[in-house]
Amino acid sequence: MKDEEIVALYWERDEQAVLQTKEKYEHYLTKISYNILADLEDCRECVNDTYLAAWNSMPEHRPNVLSTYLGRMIRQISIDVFRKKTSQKRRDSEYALSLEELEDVVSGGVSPEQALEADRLKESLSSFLRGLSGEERKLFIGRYYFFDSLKRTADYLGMSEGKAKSMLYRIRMRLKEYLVKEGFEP
Amino acid sequence: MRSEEILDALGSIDDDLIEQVNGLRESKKKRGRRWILQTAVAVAACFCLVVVGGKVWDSFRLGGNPGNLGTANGAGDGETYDCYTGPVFPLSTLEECPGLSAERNIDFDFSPYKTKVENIDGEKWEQYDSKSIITDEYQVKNSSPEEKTVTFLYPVAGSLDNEPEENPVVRIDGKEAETELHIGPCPAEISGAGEDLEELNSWKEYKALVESGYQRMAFDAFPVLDKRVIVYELSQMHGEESEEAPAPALNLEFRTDFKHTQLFSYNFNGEENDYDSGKCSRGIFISQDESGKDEKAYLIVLGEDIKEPVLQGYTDMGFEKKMEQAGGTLKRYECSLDEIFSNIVKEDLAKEKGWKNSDFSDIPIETFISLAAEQLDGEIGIFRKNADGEYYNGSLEELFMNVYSCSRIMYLTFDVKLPGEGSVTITASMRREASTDNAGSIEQRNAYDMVTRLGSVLDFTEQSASVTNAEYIEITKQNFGFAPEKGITKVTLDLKKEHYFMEVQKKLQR
Repeated sequence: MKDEEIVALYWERDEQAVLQTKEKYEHYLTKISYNILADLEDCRECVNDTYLAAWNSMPEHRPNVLSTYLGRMIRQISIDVFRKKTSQKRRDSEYALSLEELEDVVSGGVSPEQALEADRLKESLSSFLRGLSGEERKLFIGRYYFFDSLKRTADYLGMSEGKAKSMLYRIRMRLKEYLVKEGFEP
Repeated sequence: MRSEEILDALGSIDDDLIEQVNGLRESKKKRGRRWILQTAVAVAACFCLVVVGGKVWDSFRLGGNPGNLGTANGAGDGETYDCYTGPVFPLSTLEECPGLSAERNIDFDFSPYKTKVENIDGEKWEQYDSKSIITDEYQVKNSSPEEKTVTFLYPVAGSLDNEPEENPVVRIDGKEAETELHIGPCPAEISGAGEDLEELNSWKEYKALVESGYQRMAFDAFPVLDKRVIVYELSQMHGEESEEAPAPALNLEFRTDFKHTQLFSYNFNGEENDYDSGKCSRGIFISQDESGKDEKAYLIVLGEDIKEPVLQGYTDMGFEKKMEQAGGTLKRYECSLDEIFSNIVKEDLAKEKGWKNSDFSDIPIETFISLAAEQLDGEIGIFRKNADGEYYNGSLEELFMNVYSCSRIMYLTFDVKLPGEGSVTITASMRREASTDNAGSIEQRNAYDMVTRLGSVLDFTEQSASVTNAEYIEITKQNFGFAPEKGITKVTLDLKKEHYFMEVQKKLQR
């Protein structure tokens, strides 16, 4: 079923919407969640929470690309679960690895001013990403938005893992410089 | 600032940025430069030795029955896999031999799936190897009264980086045969092969390859790269790391006309190409290790020479802050492409010892150079673009990696004396890696497959297949007809059917 037809079902408050979403996107959503949580039980809960969030948000939203819309939801839901549970148990997920990798870019400190600057950071990050080459941008988003493993990201971008690793390192260094220039404390 | 803030901010990036990657992630076809597509296949193959779980008590959490997970995208049609190792091909003869007929039995032994418990850092880990030991056995009969000496060939889908145990051992009446190896070209380099053959994800793509006359190409002479080139050789790089210069680097900056020049490079870490203005650069980190002092980097110019080459030191690869103390020796000379290429291949092989792990890498270095030349020959051409419509950078390391890891068909040939009205038994034994979808994830599918007659000129009178040590696996999908739980471990194959497959999962052992 096409995305617009599924979205229409949500707007009609037809429960088939959730069943169709499940059929089309369960694998996709599970993969994103698993990259973050590395725990199948938690993933399943997050996927179900995403269906609920989709049901509650349509209407009013009418997304054009359902995968992107749902993917954004499950990413945040899973990160929230990760944070809630990570104090109880250390997790070896791609999200945890991404956090470690990005320590190259940041110092780890937090200040109230920085917390207020979250919106500006989003804008700066978008500008930075648009300034990257297509290949670099896809690599960065594959790794740090979808939390795909380095191997998998290199795989679907058609490059060697070694190249992906060194390219990511260079991008992180450039991001660090960029953020400093933009006035962010590293 | 903390890492989480960056990852949170990334969660709000524009849809179009996400969708560009979404398409790639969900596509079965991998993208990228022509010459690195097969590298990706080989990288994916690395997943195939599966380490399952952690401590014994939860060790099979990932390997358990996935239920209905993974079915949304994984059609399970037995045809297409992300990481496809290729089918087991049937025995053939180099030329058609009337009077010869053969019976075949192929056995899939799943003993590598048996759980092994290893003690790592005081913790127990359960492991298994997702390989099957395959014994492909033929009774070849000669119906004519005369003795015949026939050259047989056994095709193997694989790459130069196959594990030695993956390469078949051929026996004639139980005695190991001397074989000769003929390596087919990387499919992507076959003229007119089309995009579908750049990456082999299904047996049908192998079929198309075989039907394109691939076998003949494996026996063809290699190309000669006699074109003249200009080489810029960078050596004696120096520049010390300091607080002001955290990662000293050199940048070779120049201009070129891409309409008349093709560039290849080796050992540089980064490049910039402005295809409109012709402004280019090649950057390299200055090694701080003693072992890196002899390091060299090469820029090979095919066509018109580059203009205004300048070597500049920088404090890091951002190439913004110049570093006057950093430098190197830039030597320019002319030679044939073949000559510089051979030197670089030898340098690369000396650096990358990995290739020597393979039996097939027993091939002489000259053969490897020829295979790489064959690959390079296919890349020569001004204005070549990759699948994204971007120009490629001419990186020779990537080309070597592809030569080493691209999926192709290799042919083992051997001579057999067949007595008049007599028969011989020919067996090919190997450990075969599973083809996989979603490798390394919870939805992994492990598959093994074979083709009955594809590419063979032998007259097969009967074929059968069997499974042994099936207690270690669960067959989740197949078209063979095995039912080990009911004692059906051997089946007769329909010769009209071209392809047989089975998907298996490790069976839980408690």
